[in-house]
Amino acid sequence: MRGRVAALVALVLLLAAAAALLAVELAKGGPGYGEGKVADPCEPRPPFPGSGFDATIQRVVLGGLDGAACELDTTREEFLLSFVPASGVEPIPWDEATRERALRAGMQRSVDDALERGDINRVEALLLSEAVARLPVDALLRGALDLKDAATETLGGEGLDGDPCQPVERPGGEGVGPAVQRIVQSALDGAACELGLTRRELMLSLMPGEQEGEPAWDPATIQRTVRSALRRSIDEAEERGSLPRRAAVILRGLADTVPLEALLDGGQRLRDALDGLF
Amino acid sequence: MDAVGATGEQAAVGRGRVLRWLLAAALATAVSVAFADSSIVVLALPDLYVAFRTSIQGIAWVITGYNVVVAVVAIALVPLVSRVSLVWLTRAGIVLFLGASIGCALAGDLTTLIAVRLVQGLGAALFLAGSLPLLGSLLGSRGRGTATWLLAGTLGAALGPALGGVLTELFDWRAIFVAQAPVAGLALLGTLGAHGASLAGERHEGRLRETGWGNLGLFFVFGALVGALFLGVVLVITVWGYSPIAGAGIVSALPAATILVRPIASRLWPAACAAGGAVLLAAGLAALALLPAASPVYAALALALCGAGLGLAVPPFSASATTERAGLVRSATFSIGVRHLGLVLALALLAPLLSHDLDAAGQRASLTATAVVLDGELPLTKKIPLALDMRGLFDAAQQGEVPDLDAPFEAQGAATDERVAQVRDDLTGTIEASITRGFRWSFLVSALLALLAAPVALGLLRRREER
Repeated sequence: MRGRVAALVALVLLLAAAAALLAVELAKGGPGYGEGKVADPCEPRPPFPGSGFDATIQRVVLGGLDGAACELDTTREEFLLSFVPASGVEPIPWDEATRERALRAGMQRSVDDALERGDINRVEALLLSEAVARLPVDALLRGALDLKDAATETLGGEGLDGDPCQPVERPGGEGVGPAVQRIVQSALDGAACELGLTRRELMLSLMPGEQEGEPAWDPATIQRTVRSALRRSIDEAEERGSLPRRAAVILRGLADTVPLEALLDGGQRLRDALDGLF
Repeated sequence: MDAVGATGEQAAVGRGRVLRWLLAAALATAVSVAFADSSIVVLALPDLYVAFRTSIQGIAWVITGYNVVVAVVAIALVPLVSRVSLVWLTRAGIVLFLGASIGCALAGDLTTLIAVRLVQGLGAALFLAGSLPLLGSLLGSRGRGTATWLLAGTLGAALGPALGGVLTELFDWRAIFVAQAPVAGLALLGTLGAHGASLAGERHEGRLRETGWGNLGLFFVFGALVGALFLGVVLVITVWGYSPIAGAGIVSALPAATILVRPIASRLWPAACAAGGAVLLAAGLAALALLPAASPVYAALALALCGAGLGLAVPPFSASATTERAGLVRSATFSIGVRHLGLVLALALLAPLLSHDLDAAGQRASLTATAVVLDGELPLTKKIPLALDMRGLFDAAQQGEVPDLDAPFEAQGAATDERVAQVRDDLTGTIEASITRGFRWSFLVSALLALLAAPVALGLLRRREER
């Protein structure tokens, strides 16, 4: 009988141990483990940490994805994977055009927010807006790397902080548009080099209210230097035969009159204007 | 002189008894192996999958096929076992089992392996049915033989995955079957020592229906064991990525607990023992369902509860299912069929449930993995190549498997860059968590099966009162 009672006590202890294990698991969050909740894109979340251009780009892209997902009432992750064929995730109920529009709008809002917060200056905002508006959507989704690439391409091999006096191999491309882009890039490099500025400093100095600290040069000197560099670049391009004569004539006229701020997007407005003519 | 003769005679009797005990041990070991075969290849499934380049469904038949044949043949044998020579039935079964074990070890393709496993199941059903009275004959008492047979069956069921895991890791999946051949050979020798053991024409006063409560309990308990023996093992090996031998170490908590609770089981009232065991088994499975982390400690504790539940619930249910009144051999054969039927039906119930849940878990893992990569504190130059490489790895991973993330993260400097290593660890953790959660409902259904055995235990109380 004593053995039977001892066995019964042992059974009760085992049952108590089982209850204790379950209690510990519940207390440690067992029911929620693996739930895989993703954040609500409409709720503000801590910004992506870090400084520098890379972190800025990531903040802009992540904010853009949040904005688009919030607008379409889905999650950032579902929205992103909806562009990936055979991702294995349930598709969201929006057609491709709607998703693309939401993505571009979300990213543009994110750029504006970043500018407002002071994360980026107007030069960077302009470049990013350009990329957001023009890059194919798959390039945007391939991870913003292309945003960075696009900005780098516009500014030269090493981006904003590269040495403008070092010659840069710029990607080719036929036609007036790419030629104008190369002319503008080369002119900005030439002017920056001549003034002893980095590209970033030169571009900031072209934007009223964006200078960091005391300007090294007065605005008139900068204007003169940039326009002069622009004319030199146009002459060189015409000599190389990469720019038709008629286009060179028009560009020279524009070089003396166009607001220099218009050069900051890689001469896109000039390119657009000339593309219509040639 | 008479005294010397008597002493010599005693010595001869003693030697004979030792020999019979050894033969009984060989036969009991074979009984254990035949029960273990229900789950012994679970830890070898990933190796088989790779070796035969087949589907999960295809490879699952290596387990299911064996259990289906044992269940069907055992139940079909019930009306026949009292009319045939059990010695020859056992020998025929062992020869089939032995030949099929060698055939499994030599199988060159999946179809052959499954076909030979079916033959192995046939052999197992025949010799399991006949071996109970033979053990009684070798051990000199039917009661002792029955107790040994039941113990061998319980331990075999509990030990299967751990045994298979060790053999697979040390040698190869084929070693699982190679190792069974000599065990079967020794068991064949064991049948030679059993004389007059044929119970053909055994008399039974009661009906098989009287064993209903015990068999119903065994049906639920063995059904629930699918959760611990199959799903638990797959979780530890396939999802958490432990090697078969490390997995066997975790899973061995189950048979260890089964053995440890034997003194309790032998002293408790059968109904209390069975009910308590069923509740413990259910609690262990619920603990597996509610794991708060991919932790071997939690898993081992939960499996230990399952093992304790098995060790407490199976003996009283088995004793109730295997009675002299209903015909010892006949009722034992029926209970073999019922146990395996429980396994088969639970497999049929849980496999599609798990498959469905793992699909959902895979989707959840994709979303959480995407979140981890997006939020990972890495520069874009590392993040984008990782994201692109990972898509390929997700595509290549099998259902329920955590993709091997080491190579792409190593390529991005995980060995030297803490941030890269951190993202890799976060990613592995989040995928493991999602897929572990995918097992939850299957474990909970298994726990429900175990819980259903608890009220059935009250039937044992009723049987006791009737007697």
